[in-house]
Amino acid sequence: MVEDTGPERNSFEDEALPHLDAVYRFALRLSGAPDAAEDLVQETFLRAFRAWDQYTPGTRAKSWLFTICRNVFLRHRERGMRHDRIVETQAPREDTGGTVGDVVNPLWTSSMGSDPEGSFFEAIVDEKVLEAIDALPEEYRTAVVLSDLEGLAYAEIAELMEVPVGTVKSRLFRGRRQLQEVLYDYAIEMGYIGAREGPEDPLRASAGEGA
Amino acid sequence: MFEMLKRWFGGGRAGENGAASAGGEMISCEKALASLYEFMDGELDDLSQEAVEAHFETCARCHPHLSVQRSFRTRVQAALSRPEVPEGLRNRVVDLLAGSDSEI
Repeated sequence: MVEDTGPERNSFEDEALPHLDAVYRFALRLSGAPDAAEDLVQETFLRAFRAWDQYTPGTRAKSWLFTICRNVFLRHRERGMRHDRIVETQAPREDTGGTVGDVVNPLWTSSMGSDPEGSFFEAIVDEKVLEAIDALPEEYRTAVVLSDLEGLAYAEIAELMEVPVGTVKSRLFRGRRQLQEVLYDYAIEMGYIGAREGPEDPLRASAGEGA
Repeated sequence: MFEMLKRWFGGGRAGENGAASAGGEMISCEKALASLYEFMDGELDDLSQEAVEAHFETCARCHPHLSVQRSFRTRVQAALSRPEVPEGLRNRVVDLLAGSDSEI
């Protein structure tokens, strides 16, 4: 519009800046390191500020900021500028199809007798949980963070990631499943879960199922 | 804890085939479990949400799956919200925007 940046600046500060903490936590999981996350946040807000006239008032400023943040991250990563301490696994190409309905993790059938509440999760330290999250493929990680931390609706995540809602469901399913498997193995290793009763181990039995 | 276990595994309320009713609608274990994440994420319509909830409340076989998933989510949520936002980041961003303002 015109030179009148005063009021625009105010509304940006009112609508966008309150989400700074959320954007930082998202950026931290994307980039994996505090320095890189700070850079990412600064670039995100600068871009958002410059594109503020494209923002539709009344829509979710937070989702819009997440979108910008992720796009900036992906662009940097493409250019190989990623501050990279993460060993990230690759998402399987065909992540729309698959076993989404199969929520019952074979894991639980073995531990549920002794720990029906899944309370072993509580024993696992933050660092380990975050490490497991950071090791997820970006597509899964973003979906999990936006859903479990931010409580975004599937439709919002779908719009943000530019994929169909079904793909979001599938990514959430796979991301959560992978996380649970890693944390479960860790809990066994640390003795948070007792030795299993039966000789059969459903996880191992179905290893290589290609989930 | 023991009481809950007894309730779950002692048969009782859960329907014969693990079916539970909500407002007359019966859903199967299979259907309830398949909707577990959508249920937890609040993505079902009100009626389905109720039906799934009723199923998990009353089905001894399925209830632990909800408990485990809830426990998992609580843990993930807590870990994700733990990192402190660096002091001064907000001011750095505000300064950056102010600088960009005068550039334009």
